[in-house]
Amino acid sequence: MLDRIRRHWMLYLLIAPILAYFCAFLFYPMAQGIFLSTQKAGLLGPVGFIGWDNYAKVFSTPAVWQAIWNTLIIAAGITIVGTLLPILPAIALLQITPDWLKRGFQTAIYTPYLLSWVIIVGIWLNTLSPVGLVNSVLEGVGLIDAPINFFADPFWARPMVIGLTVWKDVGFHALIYLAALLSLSPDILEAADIDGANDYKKIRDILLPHLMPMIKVVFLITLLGSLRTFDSAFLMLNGRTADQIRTLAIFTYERGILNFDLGLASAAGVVLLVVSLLISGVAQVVTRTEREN
Amino acid sequence: MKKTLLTANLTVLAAALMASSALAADLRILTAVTGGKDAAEHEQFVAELEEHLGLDIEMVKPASDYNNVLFTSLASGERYDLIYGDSSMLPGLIDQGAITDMTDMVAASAVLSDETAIPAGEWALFDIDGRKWAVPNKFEGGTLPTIRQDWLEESGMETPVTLDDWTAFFKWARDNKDGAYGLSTSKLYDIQGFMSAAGIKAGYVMEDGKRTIPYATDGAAEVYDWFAMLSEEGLLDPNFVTNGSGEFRNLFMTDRVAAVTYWDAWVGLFNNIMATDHPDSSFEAKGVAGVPGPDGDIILRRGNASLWMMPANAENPENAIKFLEFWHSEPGYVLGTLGVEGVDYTVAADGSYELTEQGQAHGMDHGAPRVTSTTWEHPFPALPGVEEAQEIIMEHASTEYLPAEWSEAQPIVEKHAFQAMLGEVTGAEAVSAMHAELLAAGLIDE
Repeated sequence: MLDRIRRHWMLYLLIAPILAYFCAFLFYPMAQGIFLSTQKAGLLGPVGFIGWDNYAKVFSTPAVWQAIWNTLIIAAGITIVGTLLPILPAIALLQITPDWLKRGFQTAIYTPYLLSWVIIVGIWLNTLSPVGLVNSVLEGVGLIDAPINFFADPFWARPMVIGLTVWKDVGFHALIYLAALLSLSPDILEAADIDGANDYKKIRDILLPHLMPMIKVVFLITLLGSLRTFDSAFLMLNGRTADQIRTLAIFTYERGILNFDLGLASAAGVVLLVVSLLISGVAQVVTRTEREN
Repeated sequence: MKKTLLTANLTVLAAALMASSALAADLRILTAVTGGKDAAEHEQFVAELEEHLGLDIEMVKPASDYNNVLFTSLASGERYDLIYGDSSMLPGLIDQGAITDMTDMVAASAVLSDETAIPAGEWALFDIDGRKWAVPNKFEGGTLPTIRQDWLEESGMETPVTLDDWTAFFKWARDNKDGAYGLSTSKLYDIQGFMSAAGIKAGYVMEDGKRTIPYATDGAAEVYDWFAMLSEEGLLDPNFVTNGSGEFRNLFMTDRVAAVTYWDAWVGLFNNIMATDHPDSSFEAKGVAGVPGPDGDIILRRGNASLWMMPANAENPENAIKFLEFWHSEPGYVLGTLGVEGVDYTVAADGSYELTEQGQAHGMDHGAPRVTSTTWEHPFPALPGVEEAQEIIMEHASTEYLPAEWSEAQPIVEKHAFQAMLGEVTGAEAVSAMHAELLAAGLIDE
């Protein structure tokens, strides 16, 4: 080991700042969180060791189970729709000509990714308000009798969080897929044309298999991100929708910051970490097994 | 040579560190609303404070997310001598041992214990077992229904008293003002003026030592049903569940709603903004007392008292008291209202005050637009409608009791109340479900 370090000391030196960064801003805070979750936390510092009491308190709080369930449902929705839907614009982008139209479409679907959640929720609050554009159109064409209060209806709460997250990310994910598709040799598609394959067959038998490794990557990225859903759900949270979209991350924030209960919040944070690690571990094992098969 | 350079650098670094610790401020304050309106003015504000107090002061005013900053600062071991907060934070902070009991310090201060500077009623707003855990920052008003007085006069109706009166006025507005809503608000903030019709109070109420939430009792059902009727008739802004205060303020000032429920001080601000920006408008806002209950009493709510608290790890408590005594004296009142001399206002040779352009834009609010003193006379008259609204608040309003568990109870109350107010369930069904859920969660005792 020492010999290896001596031989590659320059490489180790170059990687040292990155390691230091992760130690200072990821591993140390994480360790502190785990430590705090076993303490009776005072605002001015831990008061004393209380073992598993914070965890017992977390799991005896009905809202936590609801928050875990909400997190899983929302994460599943975002991951499935957010992984599969961008394939369509990616394939469309591959086909669209002329170039200016392709660039325009690319910009249009990518723009939401650049917006902050406050702006996105603000835009859709107006558009989907009971007196907003969407309700006016739906009422105008006779599809509904009374306006739908999208942001204050428990039925719509999770679809709204899932839908807006997917809408925000679809352009980014589509670009990832597009990059993968561009690496496909045009000769293969030309050969398929000569063999008489129609568009559907080309997509099913050539494009999708070619995209599969990238789909797995996007799946994992989206899954890990969606388990930490906070901003979007927090901004859409209100008395009518809280039971449907209060995620574990929001619960942690509410207990830690709003109620000043850092011990309980840390325990909830550790639970979120464990749930995320378990799910991502299972997902990785499944995708790896599929690859090996 | 290299060694010499390294030694020199380390020496300079050590000297700089020692100098910075020697230059630590005499008073460190974490503030939310008190101070300059922007970074530049805040520096001038602190400079004026330093001049008055003869101290080196560091006054941190985060641009946003104050609670996050407060919490993370304290939890990370930062030491402040004073922190700004409101009375809803007190139970949690006391429970955590994070703030100092200031009862004895207040008693020892001639200024702070002077009842003309801080009346007993102001202390009572955040009294906990007879102890003073903070010192008021300003006079805290309350919330009440605020109506378009010019529309009311146009309608020929009297000021609404009963729920039926309000309904009639709302209907007139809908029918005569291009479909304007009758009422807009933000969530349950604040329906107390109408809940008063059932003689019930917001938040928790202790009855025989047991915790109750009146909004979850049978008495509230009829008022929820009244709101449901408003929803059905198109008289209640359907966005009230998602509104922030900005939304209903805009509706009110653009002729799209006849009444809102908001702070008494905003009666004057509404009138001032409209008179300044739209001088030709007939707009007139007026604060109205809530609906009398079965016993004839009106119940309104006073806001959470805005406070200065002393963290348990404060390093300079004596300087903190010095600041508080200044804040509750004439130069402090002028700084908290008008702002910085030469920046927000000037003083003429005859001693009269004149606001600069910046001072006018800042609306005479630099953290304490209204002070607790009963003897100090503000150099400028109150904005139109404020004094009448304040009288209503002082006569009918009281603070809510909001213990730490309110943060858990509130979403449950809102969830069922919104359903009833939108007409999805009856008021009786809503309070029954609300009560059962609160009881099951151990958030009420009966």
